[in-house]
Amino acid sequence: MVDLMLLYIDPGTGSMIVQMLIAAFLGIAYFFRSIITFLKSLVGIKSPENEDETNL
Amino acid sequence: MKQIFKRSISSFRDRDGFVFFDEDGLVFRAVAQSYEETFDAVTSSELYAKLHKQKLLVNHTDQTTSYELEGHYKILGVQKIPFISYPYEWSFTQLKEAALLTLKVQKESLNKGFSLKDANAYNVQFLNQRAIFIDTLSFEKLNPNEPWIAYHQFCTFFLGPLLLMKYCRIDANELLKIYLEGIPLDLVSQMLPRRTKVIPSIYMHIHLHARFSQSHERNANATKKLTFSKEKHLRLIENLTETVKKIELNQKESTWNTYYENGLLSDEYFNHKVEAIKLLINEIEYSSAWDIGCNNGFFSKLLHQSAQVISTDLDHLTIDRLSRELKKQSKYANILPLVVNLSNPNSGTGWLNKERASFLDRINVDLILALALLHHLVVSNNLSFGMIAELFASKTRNLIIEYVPKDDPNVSRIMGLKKDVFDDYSHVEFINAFQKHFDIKKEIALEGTKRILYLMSKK
Repeated sequence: MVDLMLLYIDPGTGSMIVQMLIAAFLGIAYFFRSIITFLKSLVGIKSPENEDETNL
Repeated sequence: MKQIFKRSISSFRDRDGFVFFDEDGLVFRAVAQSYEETFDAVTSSELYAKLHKQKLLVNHTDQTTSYELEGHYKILGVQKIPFISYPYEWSFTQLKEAALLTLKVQKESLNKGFSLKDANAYNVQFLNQRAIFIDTLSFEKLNPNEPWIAYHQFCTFFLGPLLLMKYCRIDANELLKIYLEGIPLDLVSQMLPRRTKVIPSIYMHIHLHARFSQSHERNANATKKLTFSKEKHLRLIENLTETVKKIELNQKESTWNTYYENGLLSDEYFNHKVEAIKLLINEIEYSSAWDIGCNNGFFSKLLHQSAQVISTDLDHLTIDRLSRELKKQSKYANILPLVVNLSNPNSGTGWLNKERASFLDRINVDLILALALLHHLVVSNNLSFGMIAELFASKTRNLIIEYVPKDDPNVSRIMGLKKDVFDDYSHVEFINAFQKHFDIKKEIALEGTKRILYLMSKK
């Protein structure tokens, strides 16, 4: 458990909870995306390779 | 054994260490005993080595044996950043790059079992045209039960300001001058247009986040039973990266970034000015320069590439265009473009007004370039030649300045409907004012105009 008193920054409880929701949503989105990628691969459509994230 | 010469005023928030300087201005970071375990873990995981190799984090060397400092585990000699700049001085492109850097560092950390404990924009600086992370002690062990502790900070320092710059005003990052902890998300949410609520990533990271931050601010027990796997962390970072990458500016033109193209003056004048400046800069020695009102950076590029050049302009789009252009040309890595309004340079903020130093406290150069600038300061800002000369004399040893006479077509243009109250705008007054502080070394009358270029050195 996060000890709020010891934190270098206050992350805010709301931020913690909203991350849980977002992570759950992204999990579902990821799940459906994988199904679509799989279906596409069955009919021979190749999905683009993941680029390096930042191109810094 | 050496003693600490000067401790950095801005380095007090993190109890795990602090920054200090020696007599020569070299930068050191003291690592507190409380950070010993984490520091050793980060070092042995080779996370530091990986980040250094990719030039994502400033280098450090172990200087523990040279210093006597009780209660501290290590003293690190840290790679010096030639000029410290702040997020409210960056262009949209620079802030976006800093955001992507922070996410990249977080991703590398996660892969090695660590996480960033803070994600504020002051942990990023620019070195050779690239954003670089400067806080060596921002890492902590990844706790599998904890969401990203710095997520809120990332949104207030990067995502929120970038969205405001795109959807509201390009200078919205200047709000970071007031909000030292980043722009509050409820404010960002209210300022963004309603249509952003239907964009899932913006809805989640800003609008929903803002609502949750308010309604849950006093409920510390609510997070007791959370779990947050590494996969979830990585997915969050991936989504934030995609979101930031998609933010592009809508506005592409302003009065200033098309200024040269639409200028009233001839090619003859411009070509002669280029030759004259090349001549003048070879007369002096300098390792740092400040090009004020740099516009498209044309004259900054003429300066020696071994000199550190700070190129400032008050127009955000101009600096944005310049920072994008310079990034493509590695030979101009010495130039740092920044948004600065000379008539209202950024003041010191935070603790003692010194936590973030004022722009004028940070800048001190061997050469100031003030080309086609004087008339704007006098006519638009009602400054006198004396006031301008005094400022320049306090910041540089050498000055290249273009005198623009009152009957110049550009002066008439900016005078517009303004009443001519500038009786003291004359060549004699100009010379008198500047000669109080400077010796005139050389002057070149520019062809096709009545303008004169001066090289001056401080008395």
